Amino acid sequence: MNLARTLGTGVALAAAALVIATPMASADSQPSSTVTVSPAPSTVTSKPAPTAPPKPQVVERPKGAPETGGGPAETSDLAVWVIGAAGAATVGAGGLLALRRRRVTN
Amino acid sequence: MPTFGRLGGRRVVAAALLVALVAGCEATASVDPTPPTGTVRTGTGSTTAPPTTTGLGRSTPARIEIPRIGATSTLTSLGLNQDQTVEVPPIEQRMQAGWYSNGPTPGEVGPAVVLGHVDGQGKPGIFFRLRELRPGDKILITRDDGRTLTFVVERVQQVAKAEFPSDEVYGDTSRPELRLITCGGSFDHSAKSYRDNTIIYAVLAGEGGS
Repeated sequence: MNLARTLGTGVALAAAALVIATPMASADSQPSSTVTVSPAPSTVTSKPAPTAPPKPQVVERPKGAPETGGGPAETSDLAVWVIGAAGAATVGAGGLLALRRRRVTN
Repeated sequence: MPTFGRLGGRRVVAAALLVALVAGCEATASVDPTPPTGTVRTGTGSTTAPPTTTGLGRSTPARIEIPRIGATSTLTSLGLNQDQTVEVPPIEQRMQAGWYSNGPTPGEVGPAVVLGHVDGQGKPGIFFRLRELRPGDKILITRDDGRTLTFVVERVQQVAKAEFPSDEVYGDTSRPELRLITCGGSFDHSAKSYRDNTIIYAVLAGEGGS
């Protein structure tokens, strides 16, 4: 009976020793169980404030391309018609004159 | 020889387990798996700023002169239209150049932007001959503080409006620079707009009009 108690106590002590030894032995290998340990609150509060992005030199960047031209001088449709008609009239008149001269000489 | 009673044995076992539990917790807490996240972020993001060259203080530009193309104008202040495009001088004032005031002034570190019309109402505008500029040509800017700054053309670019190089024009620079912008290329009569922009990239060369 005493032997059984002694053995039981021995087994319990051995188990305790194993539990103690296991984390120490595995500290270098960083077991996954330690990852779940959250950092101390002090380290959380000591986080540096996120740095603001540097202010751009052009504060407000315009969109698109600048419209910096009104367009070249345009000839209106009316002007084209007037010039065309004048040209046709001149050619026609010249042709008539030539025909008359030919008839007169004949 | 002392003998352990049943109760004594249980106490020993309980004590041993308690000791093991406490020791295990301490050992676990002493392992720091990763450094705090704040430490990792420290030092990042502060090296993105371009190296700066000393520029002048802020002073509104008052006048521009480009001897090579015979262009001279006072400078008006320009902002943004409601659609966030850049304002330009009224088309009726085709000989008027303007400076985009939401950016650096000429002489400050950064890209100062000056805009002018290539034409208007069928007649040449202040920047009608801007495309004739070549690297090395001078641009003079007079500021309200009385200083006249000389910029030297580095690059002339003609680019389709659909591909306007916003980063090149408005992006940060490490020295005082100047951009002159007008329209170029062929005219799209249906859109009533030129298809391209002519952009001059210039850098500050010094003070004085020489």
